[in-house]
Amino acid sequence: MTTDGTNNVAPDSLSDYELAQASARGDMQAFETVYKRHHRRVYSLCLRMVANATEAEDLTQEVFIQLFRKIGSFRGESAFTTWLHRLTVNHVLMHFRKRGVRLEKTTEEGEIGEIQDFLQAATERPRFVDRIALDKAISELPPGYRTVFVLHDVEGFEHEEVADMLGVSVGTSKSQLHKARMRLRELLTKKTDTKKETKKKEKKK
Amino acid sequence: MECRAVVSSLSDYLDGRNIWMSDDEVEQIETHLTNCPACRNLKLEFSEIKNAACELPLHTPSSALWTRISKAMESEISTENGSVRETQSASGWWNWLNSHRYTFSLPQLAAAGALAVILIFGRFSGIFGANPAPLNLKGAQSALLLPEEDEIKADLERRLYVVNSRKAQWDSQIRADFEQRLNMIDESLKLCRYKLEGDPKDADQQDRVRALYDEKRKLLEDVERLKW
Repeated sequence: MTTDGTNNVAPDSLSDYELAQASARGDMQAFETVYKRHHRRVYSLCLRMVANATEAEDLTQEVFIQLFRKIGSFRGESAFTTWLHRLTVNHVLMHFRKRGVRLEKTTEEGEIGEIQDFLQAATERPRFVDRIALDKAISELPPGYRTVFVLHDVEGFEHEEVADMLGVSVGTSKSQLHKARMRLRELLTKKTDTKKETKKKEKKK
Repeated sequence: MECRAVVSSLSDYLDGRNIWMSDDEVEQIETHLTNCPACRNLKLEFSEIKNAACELPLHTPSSALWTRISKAMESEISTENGSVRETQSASGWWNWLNSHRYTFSLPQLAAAGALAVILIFGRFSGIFGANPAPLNLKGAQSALLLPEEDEIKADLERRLYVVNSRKAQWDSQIRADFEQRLNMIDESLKLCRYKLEGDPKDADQQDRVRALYDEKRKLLEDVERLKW
């Protein structure tokens, strides 16, 4: 640990657990360090789940206020990031419930119609996964697919955890994830096709 | 196995074929993938979506967000007309209370309490000499050293009675912290009253005793107001 000559420890050198303890004692500088370390992750998670920047900022604000109230109860049994992660997800899900967003709703989208046409097209298309495009495509998913995809593929929760958080069966979680991936594939393919068409037109000119 | 069956099983195959699928199912899928370029390509696309999802960039909120958060927290913990606004979390309030509200910090009280213990121990162990004057901290507790002390004690006893009746329902950590703080104040009071007994006209010591009673009153008053 480093000190600044006044026996005060520089917050940046403290572990998450030490910062949590200091924050719980009312040390706002320590809490600001917690914010600086983790705010992007919290905001990114909120943004991907709600697909709206203003709403994501409001939720991030609420999460950190809630964190300040609860930070004294962090005992260090798990990683701080895991604990904060769970807090964020639970808060966003509560927000969905208050808004009446039904996450378990299934749609016809993602069901394969003519399988042979689908697969024929799959053979012709080059691989295409651009992370920026994927981020955009995630925001275009229906809420139920988006939530499961973000929790499982982006945030790394297992199906059992996702099912528990959403109050659905593991089978529903798996099914929603599969449909999300199918839908993302379609969205990404459209973007790739649109780019190709634009390039062709530009060449003709 | 047909394409439709393979496609619908692809996510399970990618995420947990060793957990959710039998060896036979896995073998059938892999045989099909070897012979079907379309399904093979689809599997690759799913893998790439999954891999890219783990590496998505972090987004940054507006720079004003921290200002809004810190202002919201300040208004949450500010006092209005001398009363403490209830927060949703007892531990959050308790931590704020410990750091902001009182005249004496825990370290100061701890030092005073430790000195009281040393004096008591010292007397019994003889480190202050063979025949030290008797240490009557209990006596210091019972004799009135301030004109208003009777009234103060009666008020504190009433408040303590109310708090003690609710304490059993508190979070154990909060209860332990509260009792620690209360014990420190009481030990410090014992010490200061003992010193005042030695010189009842010591105005500074009188002020210290009053300040400690006030500290105890504030602690009990705030806890009482929250009605836990």
